[in-house]
Amino acid sequence: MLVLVVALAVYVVPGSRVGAQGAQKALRYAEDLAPRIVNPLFTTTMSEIRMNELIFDSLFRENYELQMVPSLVQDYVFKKGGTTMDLTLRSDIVWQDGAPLTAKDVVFTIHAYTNKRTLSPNARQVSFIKTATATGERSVHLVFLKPQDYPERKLDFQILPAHKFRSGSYVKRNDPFKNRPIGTGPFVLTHFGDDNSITLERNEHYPKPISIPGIVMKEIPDKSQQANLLKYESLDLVVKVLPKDVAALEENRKIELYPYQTNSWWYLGFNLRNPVLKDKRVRRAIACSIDIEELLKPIGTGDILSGPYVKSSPYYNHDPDVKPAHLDLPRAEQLLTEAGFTRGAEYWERGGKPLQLKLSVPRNQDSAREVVLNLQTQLAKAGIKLEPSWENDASWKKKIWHDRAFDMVLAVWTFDAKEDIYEQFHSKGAKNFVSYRNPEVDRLLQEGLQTIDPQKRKEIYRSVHRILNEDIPYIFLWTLDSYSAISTRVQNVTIHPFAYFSFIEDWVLK
Amino acid sequence: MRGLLFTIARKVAFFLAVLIGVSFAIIALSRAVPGDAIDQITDTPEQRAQLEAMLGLDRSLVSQYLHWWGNVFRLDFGESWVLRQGERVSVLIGPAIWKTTKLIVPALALTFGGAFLLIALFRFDGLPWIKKVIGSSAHLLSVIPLFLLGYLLIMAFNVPVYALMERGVIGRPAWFALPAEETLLKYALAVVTLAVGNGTLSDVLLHLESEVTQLVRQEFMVSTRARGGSFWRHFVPNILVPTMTVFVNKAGFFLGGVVVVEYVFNINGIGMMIWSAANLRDVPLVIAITFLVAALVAFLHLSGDLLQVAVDPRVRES
Amino acid sequence: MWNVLTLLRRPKAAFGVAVLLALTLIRIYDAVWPYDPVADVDMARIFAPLSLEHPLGTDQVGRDTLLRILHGTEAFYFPGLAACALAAIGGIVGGGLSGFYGGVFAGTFRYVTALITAFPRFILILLVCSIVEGGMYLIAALTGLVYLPQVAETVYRKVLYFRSTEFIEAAKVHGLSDGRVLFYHILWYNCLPPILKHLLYLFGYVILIETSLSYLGGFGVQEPDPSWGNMLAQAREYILQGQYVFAIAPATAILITILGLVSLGDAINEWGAR
Repeated sequence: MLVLVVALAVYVVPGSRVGAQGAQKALRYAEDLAPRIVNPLFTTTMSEIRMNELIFDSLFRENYELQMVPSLVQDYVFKKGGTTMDLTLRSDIVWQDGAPLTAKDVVFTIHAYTNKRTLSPNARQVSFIKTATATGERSVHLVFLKPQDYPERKLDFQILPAHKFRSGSYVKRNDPFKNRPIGTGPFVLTHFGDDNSITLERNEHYPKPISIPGIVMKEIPDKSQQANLLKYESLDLVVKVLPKDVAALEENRKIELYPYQTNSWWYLGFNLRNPVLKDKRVRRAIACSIDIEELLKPIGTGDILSGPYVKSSPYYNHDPDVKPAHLDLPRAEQLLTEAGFTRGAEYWERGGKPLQLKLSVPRNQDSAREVVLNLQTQLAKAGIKLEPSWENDASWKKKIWHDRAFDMVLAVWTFDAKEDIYEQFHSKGAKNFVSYRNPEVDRLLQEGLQTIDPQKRKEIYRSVHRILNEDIPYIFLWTLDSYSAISTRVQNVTIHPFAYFSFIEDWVLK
Repeated sequence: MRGLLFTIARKVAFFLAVLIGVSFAIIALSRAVPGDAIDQITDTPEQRAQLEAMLGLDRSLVSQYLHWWGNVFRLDFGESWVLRQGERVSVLIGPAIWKTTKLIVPALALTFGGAFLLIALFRFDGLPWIKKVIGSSAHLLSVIPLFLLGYLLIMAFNVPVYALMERGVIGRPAWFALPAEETLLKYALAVVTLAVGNGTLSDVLLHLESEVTQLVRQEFMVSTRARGGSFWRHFVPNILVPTMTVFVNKAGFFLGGVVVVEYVFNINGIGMMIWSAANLRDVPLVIAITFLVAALVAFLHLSGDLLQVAVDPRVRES
Repeated sequence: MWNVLTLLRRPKAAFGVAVLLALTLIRIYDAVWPYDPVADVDMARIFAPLSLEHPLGTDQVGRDTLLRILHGTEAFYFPGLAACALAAIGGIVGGGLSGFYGGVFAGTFRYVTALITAFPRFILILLVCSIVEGGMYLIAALTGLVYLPQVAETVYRKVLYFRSTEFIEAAKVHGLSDGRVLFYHILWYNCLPPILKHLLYLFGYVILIETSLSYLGGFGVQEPDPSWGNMLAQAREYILQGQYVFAIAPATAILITILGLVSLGDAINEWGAR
């Protein structure tokens, strides 16, 4: 009844255009979860990385060809293989509060990251720098711990204004800076809304003219609503549309889909501490029981991978001779028989126990549900019982990383431009929860980090690829073609594969 | 008189005891869940020990509990660990409480007002058909799961208005599209959803109906009517206590339903905040909101009890 | 003494009983011919149109919607009954004893129920389910637990009412034991309809809680097992593609079931108040 009355009122009263027009001046985009903190020192989530990209800038950054080019730096002196670097900052850069950018800011930022009490989760980004000193108003002298090949690549951390922090290089999470962040980037944060939205305005001090007058980040946790609101023009941009919505959005003339090649890949990981999975033959048999193409089909399109790098990476498909295990049920049978299993009525058995594995999956992983259901059916047909266990995001690290209470995982790794797989596969790596241990891989990964010759590095990762394929700690699955959906009001769009908004200064809003 | 004061003092003490119990339960639960805030804010295992010390996670449960109460007496609920790192909890929950209040208070009024209206209608002689239809449709609407009801309401507005807009019949209304804009309509729909869905209206209706039936049949009411005395003067005070009981019992249900309704309508009230905070293991925020919600419900209980004392002299002695 | 036939003559009650009966028959059918959610996956028939073979079509991995609706009763049938049992036993014993004897027991019991009522229930369910793995039975038990205070309150007030009359003294004069007076004469003869009404509502509430949890990030029944709640929550992701049947089917099932339960509760209440 009441609904009817309200409905009638709304239909009868002609729509006012005021509110809608005011909002349309800005580019409105949605995040599942708003940034938890706007301070690059404490950034951990992708929504924070995207927000930082709008507000802050770094010494070097990637151009359209994804080459590192000077950004805040005017020019620099560095000899390949050297341990020192001299930077001169640009003179035309001012902070969003009007203060000029100085060498002090760069030195402060490096010290803030490395300060032990700051406890920055990103301290590792600057750990290659031994000392940083301001040698002039706008010149910085950097000394590295080890000889560097291409330090520009690593000087991509965002620079903070020293004059906004009174307490020296020890920065606390509750520093008032988080509520009034100041950067040198293309947009100025003007307002945190009660509805967790963040409003930004174009930075008038920015050395380049920017077309988009403002940006509004809205928090919309219900993903299926994001695509709807895009259709209704209440949003202009959805960072990553669900694969199932792609077809419906493709037909919409007001929306353009942009392929958004994230540097991320899906994998099935084995717990190598598990007595059954310790046996390489069992792992290979599982790999031979899976039809990866069939798993991928219902969730979208993508590249099926044989190793830990995506197509755009210089290390992709390193060794064309590596033949990953593929669907081959007779081979799986043979391997399981060799491993001492006998085929029971339904499942393979050994010592009276069926071959039964628990597959842990992060509950909020998009499209994981369909993959798991298919995988379960595929393996059931091959006589392997798979029991999915859907884990909360909050307990994932505790259960999987720390307690290692799983048999298999289905998950996704996302990498930044450095594509460093050390943490995943080195026996001491922080993310090596599958407990993979191969001295040869340890040595190669160590060497890969230190080698400055790009050609030699490719060789090293080629060997890693070959060994990983032999040892199968993971079954590499695919990198998914993901799409960003952006209103056609926005033109000249280029999306950075990791930080997303890196090229927003060239976007045009009609 | 002394008996009355004693009764009131006992009820207040009970209220405080509930607060102490709830705060202990929530701190114990938040300690027992797998995974903690540190997992959420860093990937670096070397930092764990320092962060534990910083957040006070290295303290024992009892010490953490006493520390928390010590701060509460200074009106300090601490800082958020994850959801809004470093922000004061008191700053965060202020606007959220206001938004949730804007949902719950009208929703409670709508449910109880609607239920009494329907009961009055049912007791009215005549119109058997219409009564049946209204009664059944109230129940039918009410048993729709909250989030589905919310979705249906949103679609009922978005879809036709969008179609009309596309044809150029109407301009774009300010509230369009739900639930992206913070408008009155969005809140109105959210209130209706909360007041009706998940069986709330049905349940309240059935409870109150039986209370009213019982009361109207009681001898003194019958005799009052027979004597030509005022029906309402006896009816209102006597229905107040059972209504309050139902109200207090339902308040908890409303606060539960708020989580879903705020999620559907994208309203950042305390429901959505506590849900995100619990998922992110933002312990100070979870404890603070749980404590405040519990305090509110316990306070309603207390008021219900005191009301009973005021209305019914017999309770004073017990 | 409770003449069930007079109850069944009411259309509301007949409808409710029919729903309960249908649920029970579906449970028996499902137990005899069990449904295997793993074997039902078939990528060749994703979102198959309605047909004789699949009267309600199939879902995003080709599973038959009708079979999943039928099997979805497993998710709440026994857990729902367990929740009712918990609330009934806890509520009747706790409420009855504290009304009958009062004293320390009544105070303690009242304190525990006050704690349960005051605690935000979704947070309780979320946290407890993260600590202990118990699936649907745990969710149902917690739902029963948060409902228990209402049952207890109803019983408590009834018993208090009888204590204030001469009823109990009269019974004791006749040499009846406390237990007999409380459980047989007070509760059985005078409290059955309101308690049944509570329990029927609780049974439906278990379904609704599961649906809400499924919606709020998939905390309800876990795939591959179906529940009406997780089917409905998943269906909303496909509304943009126009897969409406997928949403309508579980929604209708939920609606009919809960409507049946509420109607029966309503009828029992009217019948008990005659």
